[in-house]
Amino acid sequence: MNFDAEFFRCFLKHASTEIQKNERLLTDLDSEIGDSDFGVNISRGFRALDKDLNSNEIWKLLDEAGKTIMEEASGTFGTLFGSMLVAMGRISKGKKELTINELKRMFEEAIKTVEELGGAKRGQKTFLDVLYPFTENLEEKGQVETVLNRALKAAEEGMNSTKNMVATIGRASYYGENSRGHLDPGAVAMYLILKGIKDCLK
Amino acid sequence: MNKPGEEVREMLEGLVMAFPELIELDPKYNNIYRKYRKKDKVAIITGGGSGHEPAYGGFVGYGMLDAAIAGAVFTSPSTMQIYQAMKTVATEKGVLSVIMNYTGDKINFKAAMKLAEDDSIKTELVISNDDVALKDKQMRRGTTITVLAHKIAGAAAEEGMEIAEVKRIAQKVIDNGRDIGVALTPCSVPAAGKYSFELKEDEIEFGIGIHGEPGVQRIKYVPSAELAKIMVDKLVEDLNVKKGDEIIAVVQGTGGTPYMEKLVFYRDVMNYLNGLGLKTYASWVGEFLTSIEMQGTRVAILKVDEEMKRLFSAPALTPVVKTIPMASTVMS
Repeated sequence: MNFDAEFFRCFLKHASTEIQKNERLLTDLDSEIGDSDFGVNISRGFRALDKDLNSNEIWKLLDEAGKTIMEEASGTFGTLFGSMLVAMGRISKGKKELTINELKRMFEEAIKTVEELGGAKRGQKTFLDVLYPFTENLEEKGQVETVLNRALKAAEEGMNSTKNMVATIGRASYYGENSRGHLDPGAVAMYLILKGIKDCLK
Repeated sequence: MNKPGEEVREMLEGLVMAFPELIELDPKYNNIYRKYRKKDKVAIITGGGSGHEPAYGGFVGYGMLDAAIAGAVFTSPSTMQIYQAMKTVATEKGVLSVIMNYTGDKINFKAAMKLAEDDSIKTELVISNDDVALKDKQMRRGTTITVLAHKIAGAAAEEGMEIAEVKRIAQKVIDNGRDIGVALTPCSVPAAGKYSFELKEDEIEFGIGIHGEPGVQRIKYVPSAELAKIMVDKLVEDLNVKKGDEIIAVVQGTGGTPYMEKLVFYRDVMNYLNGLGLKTYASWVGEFLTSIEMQGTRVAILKVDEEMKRLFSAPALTPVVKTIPMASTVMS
């Protein structure tokens, strides 16, 4: 099975639902190692998305969604996630359907963009610790459904692995060693965003 | 304030009311634009959190900035604000962002540059890190020299130079400039409603940032002339300037410093620089990059060559900096 505009529309809708449903959880996590505005901020961004998913072109859908999120959720997560979507759109211009390998390419491009803008690397307790394992597991091995489930399992483990990390970048890094023992709110948000992806397979 | 959360918009409205012939406001994005922009020059923009007035809207106009993008108090402007500014002022020659070394500003400007590049806008970025308080150069924050980079690179752009040249000149200013700040009192962020650090009455916070971050050291009260010596020594040592070198000096209050004290301290800085045998080509005194109501001062020096001198003295007409040929002192 290939991934078309319908798939990405569904993915973004699910992401929006999950984030809004978990606004409270994200805020609580942020109050442990941040400044408690994360849940509200990011939820506002995704809420704005709901009215904005009309295009039938993959790149345009992602481009518009990314810009809306950057407009409405002005924190670092909103900027980076929005830039990710725009970057994913940029490399899928003109394509009506994508293979799993092309989907992997999109996420690799997204990671590259986030690394460039934010300067984070693996193991610094950020949402990249969810994106790396997810993307690495998007291998063309077996059924698409199996692949996605495996990638999501890896993403979940990545999210949980942030609990024992010490933040060395971003606001949580001000907490130093005290950031250990807390899940990274950005990593949790990224897992919630990815999670719905398996429900979008036709 | 009238209404919490509206102070930045209202402040910008006031600025534009005072200088309607020079600047205009995009109220949706809190962006200040130069009026009567040229089509055939590199556009120069900057932005950052508010609370540093008259930065940055005060430096928009002929010979300096084409756009200033204001975030909330001490908060980076958003990517879309910056992107909007880039689209508005873009020319065929491109858009150069000259910003300060803060994480949020860097992420948002870089993200906006990517969006602008998708629209085929040529973009370049220069980041200032002139604050000598921190040892590690990568960590150093951007402060006053950024404004001199806007003046000097602004003049280069006005002359019609290409973006690579304008960028080179902005970077040269940053490489040759240093700044240091002290506080006698902290400042309070309206949204947080509390002071950023506490000082005893006879203490000075040395090496402060521009957001009320604590300094690197706490010293006892000293008279103005002695404080001038301590601050200038720190700059001179880090910049490695010697007798006979030519400099531009900027002495400023941090927002809550009385005018009388600013001028006394300015006099002391100038006398001390003179005593070191440094030749002051020009100097500014006033307020350029403040920290809300903080009482304190910042001193910056820029080692200049012929190119920087010529561009520094080139005409500019902005709310704060008004340079007419041959007059090189500014008081705000």
